[in-house]
Amino acid sequence: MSKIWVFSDMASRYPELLAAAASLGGDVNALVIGTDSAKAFSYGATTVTQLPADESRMIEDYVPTIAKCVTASGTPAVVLISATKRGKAVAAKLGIALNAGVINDASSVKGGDGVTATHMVFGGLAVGTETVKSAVAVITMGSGAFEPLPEDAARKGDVVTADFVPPPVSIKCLERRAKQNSSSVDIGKARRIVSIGRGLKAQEDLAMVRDLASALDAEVGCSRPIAEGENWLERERYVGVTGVQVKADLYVALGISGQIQHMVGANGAKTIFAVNKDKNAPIFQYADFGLVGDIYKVVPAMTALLRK
Amino acid sequence: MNIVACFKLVPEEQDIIVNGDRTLNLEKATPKISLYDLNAVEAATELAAAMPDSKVSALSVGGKILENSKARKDILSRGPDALYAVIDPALESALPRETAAALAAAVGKIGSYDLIICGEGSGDLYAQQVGLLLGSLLSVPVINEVSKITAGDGKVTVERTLETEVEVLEVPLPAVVCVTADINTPKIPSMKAILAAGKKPITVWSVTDIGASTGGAPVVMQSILAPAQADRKKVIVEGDSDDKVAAFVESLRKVL
Amino acid sequence: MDFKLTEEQELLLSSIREMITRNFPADYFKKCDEEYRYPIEFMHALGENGISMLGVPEELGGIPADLLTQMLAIEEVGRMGAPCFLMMGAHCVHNMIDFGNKEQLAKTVEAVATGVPAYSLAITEPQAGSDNNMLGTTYTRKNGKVYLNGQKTFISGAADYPYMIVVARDPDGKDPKKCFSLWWVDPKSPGIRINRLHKIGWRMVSNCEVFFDNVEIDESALIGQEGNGFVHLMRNFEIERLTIAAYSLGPAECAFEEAARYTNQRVQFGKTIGSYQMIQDKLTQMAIKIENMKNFVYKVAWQDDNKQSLRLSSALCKLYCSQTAQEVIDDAMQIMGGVGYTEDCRISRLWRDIRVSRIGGGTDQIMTYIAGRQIVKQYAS
Repeated sequence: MSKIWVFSDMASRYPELLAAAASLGGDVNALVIGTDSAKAFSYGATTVTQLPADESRMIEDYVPTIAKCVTASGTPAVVLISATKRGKAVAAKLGIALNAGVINDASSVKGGDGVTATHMVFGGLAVGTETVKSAVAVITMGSGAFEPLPEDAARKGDVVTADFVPPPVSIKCLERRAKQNSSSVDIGKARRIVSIGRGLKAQEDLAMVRDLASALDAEVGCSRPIAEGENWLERERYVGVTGVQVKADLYVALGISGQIQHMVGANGAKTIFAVNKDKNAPIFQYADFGLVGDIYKVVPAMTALLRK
Repeated sequence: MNIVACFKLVPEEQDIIVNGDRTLNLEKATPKISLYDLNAVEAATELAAAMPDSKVSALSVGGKILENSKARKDILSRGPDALYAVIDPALESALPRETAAALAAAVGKIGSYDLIICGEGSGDLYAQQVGLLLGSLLSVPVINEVSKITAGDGKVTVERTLETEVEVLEVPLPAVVCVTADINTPKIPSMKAILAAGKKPITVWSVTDIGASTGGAPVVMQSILAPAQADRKKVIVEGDSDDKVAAFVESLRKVL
Repeated sequence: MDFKLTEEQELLLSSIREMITRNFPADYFKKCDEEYRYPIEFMHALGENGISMLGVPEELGGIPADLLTQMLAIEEVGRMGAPCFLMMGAHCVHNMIDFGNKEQLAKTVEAVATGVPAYSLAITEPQAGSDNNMLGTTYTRKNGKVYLNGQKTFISGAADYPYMIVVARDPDGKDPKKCFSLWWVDPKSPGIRINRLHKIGWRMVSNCEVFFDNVEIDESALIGQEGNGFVHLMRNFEIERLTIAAYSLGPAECAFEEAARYTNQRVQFGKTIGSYQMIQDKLTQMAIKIENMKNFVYKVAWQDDNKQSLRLSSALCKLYCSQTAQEVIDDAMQIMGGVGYTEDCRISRLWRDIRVSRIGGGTDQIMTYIAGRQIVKQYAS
């Protein structure tokens, strides 16, 4: 039976990581920076390894410490990490430190003869299934791949503390600041999403989109150009292969052409509505209901009708 | 400054055909420079332009696809001064670990370097590992998600854009950085650069030449399959007259 | 015959595609067209990328390329839906290399490097279009200065380009072959009045009436040899004819491709219209015409690159391509139906723009006149 480890640079990601870990069977050891173990236990950790907190350190500096813990408790072992940007840096560095195979952005993970995980390839055109053959497997888990286990505050387990092992080469962090134009919205978890694409002519016109979203009690999402080309919306709202893959009940795509790179993010929605003035837009191949028309006319009309 | 920009040639996605059994047919797909690697090459070129006496080497490892002479001119038209390619059947469809090992050996053979720049991930596998693995294998500082690079004396200062934070980091050289897709907008090669590309030096090595070891891959690819297409109703109405919008909203109400 | 493009040509074309796709979507040109606006951003991009300097010698800061490559570039710009008919830069430079002085050449290169053709060519007059012996604009000398008087019309780019070349007559000249000279003029000079004409197409560039009222210029404004105006322009007329053929080919391909894609999407009577044989017939005939136009344009460019005469072939090529492109674009509109007739569909703009290919740079009739005489002569005796 593999030893299962979980680690995240974002506390909010532990519940689903622990659920993924539990699906692999066996004891689950949560690596946590600091001394708060209760949360990890309540979501299914059997052991918590506390790593000494120090604000001046970068998350990546913990790699030798984690590697030492994993090595000490033997193989086979699986390390599950949240597929955040830091998580991926930690994963790759662990890959070398532990001579382990790494798979990023896993949408599913399975045990057996080697750990097998799936992740999107070719810009979302296909899904690659890979198996890790090395004794240690490091997998970063995409958001939303697993539903967290029910929280149970009564659960307890063993707490171990690990000594910090300094990294051989270190990068100095001069400054850390909040990202401008970022939000903590997680549209991967939103039930309803109104998403806007290139059909939007100006940033001010987002008001019209927000109005419709509020009438539908939905979050606002977007395609890549809106978040990365124009910077009109936060990167967190970008739906697509390198953005968020949604699991919503309702996805309303406005002025989005429906390139595969976007649809890979949107296809997880139960029902897709689309408005686009180009009737040949690929979005209509992926929609349950489509309206060929001008969003500038249709969207305010929809909002008005929904508010009636 | 001696800069190495790593890139991968990948099949043009638009030419990929999905077979009936959901496997992919790549035969008709022409090679192209992986999109995010253009950001790495552009970052290298911009940095070199800002530092006198700089040199940019483009480096790639892979299979026969790298023999494509048009693709070689393409990469050289985007700024690098020289191209190094490691071509070997053993690197055909190599996964990140083998790729990084070959890159590390090739870098050793190229000689000294100050900074290696990689993209955030390749257009085919998008494993987002190679640069990080490469830095770790070379035992030099390595960091991902770099959205800005400023050269200093024996170091670079970089901005790293994370989910909700930006870190400003001081990275001692030599080092490896993986840049984000929005670090720059790659310039479209000019007519002049395209015509000059054919005159730049190209060095080709095999795995034996660089003394890299292959084999012992920690990960194997089992399959690459297109996802089953979700079954959609595809009720499409043409026209945005009031009654059509009203009908559309009625369908919408039904799923709320 | 080797029809394979070189890798460099393929990369040049893909760079053009990338540039237009990324920075100049169909909406940009639609807007310029609607506003009768010269697409200066696009022209600057052509300059920045070096496209406007293709074929200009390296010592002038240009990019060596044969005429075939230049025609391929024009074709590709047109195929991407952009106004390739504005690509006059290299032509301007070649004129000045052939018969301009150092200063005129330098000014031309300076403008063309920014993507903008350096000058408009003021030849046509209300009474003299095809029959250019009737040109009435005069130049006269007084106190060491030269004075222009008269009127030109349909002058392309007169309101957009920094300079103007004026063809004027020496009123005392007896031999009509020897009495026309070319003059380098600043269109902002006192005595010049420019009046824009309203046209159904080519709205992204001005076509103007230009009035010259005692416009004073220096002797140094003379271009080439006095009295040799038409001789100078003659050889470059042939290249111009080929260029107009390429201007026609590109947009025809654009319209064809758009229409062909549409036949896969438009459903009527339960089937895509592409499944109907009448549509297939149209597409087939259009494809043949495009293939013919390509072959003709490439062949004539190749002739020039191989120092062969274009006298006959450039006239035939222009006549064929300008007529045939119009047929292809018209068929594309027919396939698109109502959609093709709206301004939302760029085929309607191409349809309006293409018509002038049969008028400007020598009408269909003049091409026939040039070619016809030569053919008859070839078979004399």
